[in-house]
Amino acid sequence: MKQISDRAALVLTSLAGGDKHAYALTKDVQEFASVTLGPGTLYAALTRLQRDGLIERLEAEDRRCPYRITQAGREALAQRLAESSRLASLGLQRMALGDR
Amino acid sequence: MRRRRSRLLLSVYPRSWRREYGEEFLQLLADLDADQPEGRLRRACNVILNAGTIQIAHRRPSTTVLLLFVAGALALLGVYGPVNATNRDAIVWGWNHNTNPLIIAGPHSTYFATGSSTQEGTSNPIVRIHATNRQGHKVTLDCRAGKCAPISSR
Repeated sequence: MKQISDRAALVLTSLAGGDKHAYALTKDVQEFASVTLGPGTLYAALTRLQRDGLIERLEAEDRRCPYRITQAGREALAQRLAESSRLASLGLQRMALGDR
Repeated sequence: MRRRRSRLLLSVYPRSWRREYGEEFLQLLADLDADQPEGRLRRACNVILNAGTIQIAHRRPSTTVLLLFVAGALALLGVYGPVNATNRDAIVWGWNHNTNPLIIAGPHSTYFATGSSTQEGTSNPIVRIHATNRQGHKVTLDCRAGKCAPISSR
């Protein structure tokens, strides 16, 4: 499965909580990760994720298009989070050993 | 961000991309401007830089886009420019929206602005720019009707 970047992981994590349009996504990521995604960065990530079939664009409401995570997106995110979790555990374990 | 500026920013993206994402992208810029008006310049740099990566992904980068990409990269380093010295609006806009040095790149010289003032009340208001040139000398420039000229240096 294709590796996803940190930014893509943030976008997928946000969409895993429900469909969102770009502005709602920016605010959500800012809230849960304290990361401000610029509009260019966000759309670069959205374009790539949509091209890779990890998200889909829903019908526009007004001029805002909501995005939805796909099944492939959920699988990619799960794999990425498991890897991050494994790395975090290993890092914490080694740091604890180093403190002794 | 004003609509005209947003449309200008959008124009650096490939046409096919604009067709698909253009309207919602403009809406996002409008939403962000309404919510965080102080971050306009940073967002503009972000848009230009990422437009470069999308252009490259589309494999049709134009010279203009590549130049804008370089300008965005310079902006990331903390300088807002280059801004054409013959464009009074660009100078005033650049100065009013940031506290960092503004590069004014004319055809023959480069200035780093340190302050500005506007003399209003005439049909062609003068914008006086206090700046340092590449040699580090202090320079005062008067900009009127789209043209800038140094009036003193020390």
